[in-house]
Amino acid sequence: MNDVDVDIELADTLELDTGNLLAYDPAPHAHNPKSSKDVDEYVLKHGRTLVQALVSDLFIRPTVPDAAPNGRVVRLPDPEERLPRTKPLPKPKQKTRWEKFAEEKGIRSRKRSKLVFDEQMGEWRRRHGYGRVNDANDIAIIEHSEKDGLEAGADPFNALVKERKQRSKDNARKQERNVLLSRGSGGAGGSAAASALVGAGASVGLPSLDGGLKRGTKRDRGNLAQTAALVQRATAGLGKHGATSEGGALRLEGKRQRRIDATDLSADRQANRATVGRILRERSDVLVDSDKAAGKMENERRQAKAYERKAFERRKEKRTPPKKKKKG
Amino acid sequence: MAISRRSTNKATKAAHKAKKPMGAVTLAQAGASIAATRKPKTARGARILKQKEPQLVEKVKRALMLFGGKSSQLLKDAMLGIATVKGKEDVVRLARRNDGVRPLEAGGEVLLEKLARQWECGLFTLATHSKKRPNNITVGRVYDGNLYDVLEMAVQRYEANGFAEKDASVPIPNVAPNSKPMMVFSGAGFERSARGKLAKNVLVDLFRGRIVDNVNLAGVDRVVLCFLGPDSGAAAGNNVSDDEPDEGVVYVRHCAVVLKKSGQNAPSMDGGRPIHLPYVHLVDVGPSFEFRLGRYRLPPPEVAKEACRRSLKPSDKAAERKASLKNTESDELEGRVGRMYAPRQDLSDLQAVSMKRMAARERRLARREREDEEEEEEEEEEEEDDN
Repeated sequence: MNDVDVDIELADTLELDTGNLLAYDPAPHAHNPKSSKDVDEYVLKHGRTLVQALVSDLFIRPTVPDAAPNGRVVRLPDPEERLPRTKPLPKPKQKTRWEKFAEEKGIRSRKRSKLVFDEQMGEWRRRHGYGRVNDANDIAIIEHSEKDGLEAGADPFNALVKERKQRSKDNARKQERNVLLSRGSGGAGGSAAASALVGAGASVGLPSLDGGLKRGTKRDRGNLAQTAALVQRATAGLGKHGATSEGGALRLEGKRQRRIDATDLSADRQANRATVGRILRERSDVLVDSDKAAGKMENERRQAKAYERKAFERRKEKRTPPKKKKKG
Repeated sequence: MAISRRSTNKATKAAHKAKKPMGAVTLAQAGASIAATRKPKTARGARILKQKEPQLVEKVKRALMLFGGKSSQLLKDAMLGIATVKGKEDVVRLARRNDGVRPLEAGGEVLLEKLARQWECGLFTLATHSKKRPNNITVGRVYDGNLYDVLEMAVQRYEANGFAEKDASVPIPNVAPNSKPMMVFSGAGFERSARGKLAKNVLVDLFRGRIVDNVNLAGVDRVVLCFLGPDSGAAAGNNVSDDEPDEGVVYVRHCAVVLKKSGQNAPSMDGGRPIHLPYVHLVDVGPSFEFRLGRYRLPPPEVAKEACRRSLKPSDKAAERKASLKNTESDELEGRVGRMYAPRQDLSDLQAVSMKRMAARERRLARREREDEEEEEEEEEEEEDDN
C-alpha cells in the first residue's frame, strides 16, 4: 500500500519548505463538507497525507553526526517562507579613527601584562590600580623648572593632575567625535523605511494615521553640520569650545536660516512676494487665474480668426488672377 | 457642573491636538529616544541592553497576548489555546483590560506599540468582544517598534482537546510543549487573495518557533494543520473585493504525530544507507480552532522589503561556523575530538611562581645557604679545635 509515497498529483503542486518544517498544498479543496464533523475528518485525512510528505522528506535528509545522545539529527535546508523581522538588521559598526589608522598601518594590538617591572623601585608592580607603576602619588619631589612651561610659583603637582584630567577629557571628546562621525556617514541611526511606518497610512481602505516627527529627518540623523551650527550659535560655552558667533559672522546653513532684519520693510515685502509667488507657481495646476485664462482664450480665438482670414485671402488670390500693376 | 468640566477637558484636549505642530514628537517617540540615550550603569545592565539591540539572527518571536475592553469565555479559552500551541515560554500574557488598543483605527496602535516594545514582542494577539465583532482576535506584527500588519480572526469554534471524538481506548500521545511544530497549509485561498497570503504568513510566524539548522527527528512529534475553506456566509470585512472568492474560514488543528513502521525504504539524500520511512499517524489532541478572517492591513511595500531582508542564508552561516571549527575530528569510538595547538613557549623566560613566592623562596634558599656555610665553618672550627 502506498501510504508513505506521496501521491503523484500532490507531488506536482505541493510546496515543501522543510527549513521551516512547513508544507503547503495550494490545490483547491475538492471536498464539499456537509457538516463540521465532515470537515474534521477531511482535515485529518488530507492533513495526514501532507504531513507524510513532509516527514518523508525530513527522514531522507543527511544526518548530522554526534549532535544528540538519542534520536537522529538531520540538517535542514534554508527556510523559504519570507517572514518579517522584529527589529531591523544591525548596522555594521563604523570603525573609529584609530581603528582605521591601525588597519592602514598594519598595527596589531597586543595584550598587556598585568605586572610591569619598575626600574626605579626595582620591583614588579601592577600596571593599573593600587601601587601601580608611575603612580603620580608616589612622586615625592618635583623640581620646578621653567622649561616645562610652568610659571614661577605654579604648583607642578597640580600641573600633573591637570594633565591627567585633560587626557581623560580628550579621550571622551574623541569618543564622542567617533560616534558623531559614524552617525554622519550612515551608521546606526534608525531605518528610513521604518520611518514610513510612523503614522503610516493604511494601504487598503482604512483611514490614514497622522503621525508626528518622521524618523530619519535631518535633526534625528545627528547631522554634523546642523549640530555644529547649533553649537556655534550657543553662547553658554563662553567661547571655550569654539568662537562664539555673538555679533560675529554666523555660519548659517540652509535656506530657512537666512533671517531678515525685522525693521527692514522692503526686504520683508520682497520675501513675502517671493513666498506668494512660489506657492502660486507650485499650485498653478490647482489655482486658475481667471483673467489670464480669459486672456489666453481670447488670444487663441483671435489667432485662429486671423489664420482663417489669411487662408481665405490666399484661396481668393488663387482663384482670381492677380491685378496687373499699371506701369507709369 | 461635572458635565461642563468634562466637556472643557475634551475641548482642551482637542485644542491641544489641533495645536500640535508638524514637527512635534509624540510622547511615545520621546520616551523611546530618552530610553535610547540612557547609558547602562552596571555591566549587567549593559549586557541586558546589548541583548535588546538588533541581532543578526533573531530569537523566537514573542507574542504579546492581551485583551481589549470586553472579553468572553470563548475568547479566554481560545487565547489560552493559542498560547499552548505556540509555547507558553514564548508568550507574554497580559491580564488587564486594554480598551485603548485598536490597531485598525487611527491612533489606536500607539499603546500597542509601546507594550510590544516594552515586552520585546514581535507579534501580538488582541482579544476583543463586541456585538458587531464577537470573539475577535486581532493578530498582527510589529517591526522596529511600529505596527507592521494586522489581521482579524474571529473565533467561531474552539475546543481545548480537539474536535475529534475521543476514543477512550486510544491513549493520548504526549507532546513536548515547546518543540518545534510542523505546519501544514492547505487551500488555494492562502495564495490567491492578499488576506489569505497574510493569514498564512502570520500563522507561520506565530507557530514557527526557533529558526534552526538541524532538527532531532525524535522531537518531531506535533503538527499544526491550517486549512482555508470557502466561506458560505456573508462577506467578512470591507477589504474583500467582489472578484476574490470569499474564502474566509481557517481551520486550525493541533495534532500529535505518531510514527509507525511502514516497511518502506528510501535512499538517503547524502547517498548513505537507505532510510526506513515511517508511516505518519495523526491524533487530534487539540487545541482546535475555527477562525473567520476579517479586516486586515498590509505593510507599505518598502517597509515589507526592508523587514523581510535576510543578511546571510542560514546555510552560509552554518558553513561559516563550520569553517571556523577547525581541528575537529569525529570518531565512532571517541566521538568528536578536537586538537589544540599550543604555541611554542620560551621556557627560559617562564615565570611559574608568583613574584612574592619566588622572592621568598630565594630568600629562604639564600638563608639556608648562609646557614650551611656557617655550619660548615663551625664544623671546620670544631674540627680544627678537635685537631
